[in-house]
Amino acid sequence: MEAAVDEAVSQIKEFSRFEELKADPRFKEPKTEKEMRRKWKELQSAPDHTNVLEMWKEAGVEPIELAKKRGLKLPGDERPPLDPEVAKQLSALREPRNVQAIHLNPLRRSAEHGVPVCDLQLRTYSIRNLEFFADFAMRAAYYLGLPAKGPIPLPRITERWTVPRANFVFKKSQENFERITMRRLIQIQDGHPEVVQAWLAFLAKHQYYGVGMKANVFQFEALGEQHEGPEIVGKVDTSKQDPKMMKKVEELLNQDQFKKAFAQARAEKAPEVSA
Amino acid sequence: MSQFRAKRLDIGCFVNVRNLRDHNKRKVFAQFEPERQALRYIIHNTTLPQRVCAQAQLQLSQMHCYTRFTQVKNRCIMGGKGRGIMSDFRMGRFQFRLNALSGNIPGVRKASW
Repeated sequence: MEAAVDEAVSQIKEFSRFEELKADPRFKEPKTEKEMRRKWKELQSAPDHTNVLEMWKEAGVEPIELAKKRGLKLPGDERPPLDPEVAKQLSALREPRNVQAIHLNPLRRSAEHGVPVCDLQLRTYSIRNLEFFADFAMRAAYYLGLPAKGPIPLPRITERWTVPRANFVFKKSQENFERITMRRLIQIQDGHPEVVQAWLAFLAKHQYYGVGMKANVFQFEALGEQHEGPEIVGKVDTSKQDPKMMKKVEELLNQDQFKKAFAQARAEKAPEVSA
Repeated sequence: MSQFRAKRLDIGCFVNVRNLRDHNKRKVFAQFEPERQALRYIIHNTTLPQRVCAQAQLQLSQMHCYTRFTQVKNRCIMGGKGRGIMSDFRMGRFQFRLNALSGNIPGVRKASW
């Protein structure tokens, strides 16, 4: 009973303090735009008044303590208590296997034939990022159903440079710099080319910072007449030429000067044919 | 050659007239490289008549000197120096040292072995 009375009294006190605050010119609402701008400037220039909490504290009100005293909670904080039976059942549930697998080494599938289909090389200067991403790539390969070997550590590439310390002369005093590139190889075996492409695209989508990727993809085709590559027409295979260049060649040969040259060449050749 | 120069500054590195010129040369070279290759292809193509090859040779020799790769020169992007550039970083040695020490070049650190 007494506690309730005390609280009521304190609430009244707070309210009266609020009335006082309202009377304070600092808490008056600005009436004109000019006034508003001035007030905004004032607020900006006063670093202690940048947030509301500080302002209340300045005015002698402790909102956090007050909230604790009154037993107030932020909205969304409270949860209805679980039924003990349900809680028991929930705690008995195990995590899904694939969630458990995150804490273990990546799973891998065994290759039936061992035919290499794709060599993915990962490179970095900072090994942690690489280790993480290699792990990610292995897991992705497993869940796409690709048998993957690796990550195989390849020899590190060490580059060193020696430069004079000074900007001019003084060759005797020099400094060494180095850059070490760490590499890992992940080999996919027996995968379907489209799945391999999907895997590579997935890795490219989820690229990790500080890790470079390079993939060699191998294609196999039957010997003999079942040729799947670009069709070879005539004697010259232009498919290996740069398409940009070939387009330009066509353009050039359609120019007036070249047409004239062709005409002249034909005119020179014609008498020989008739003779 | 001012006809190749961009109307607005289009590089973000150290700017002086020599760096600008080199930048222009690189751009012009990249733009005209297919044409040069096409002309070379016509010249070397033995199935075409001799006259056509001669015409291509003539055109190739008349192209602007900026379209040649030999015109491109590595320059320091931090200070514009033209000699002793480390081509891995496109910087002079002193600029390389400063940038490496301040950690601006990925993976490069002081070596001790």
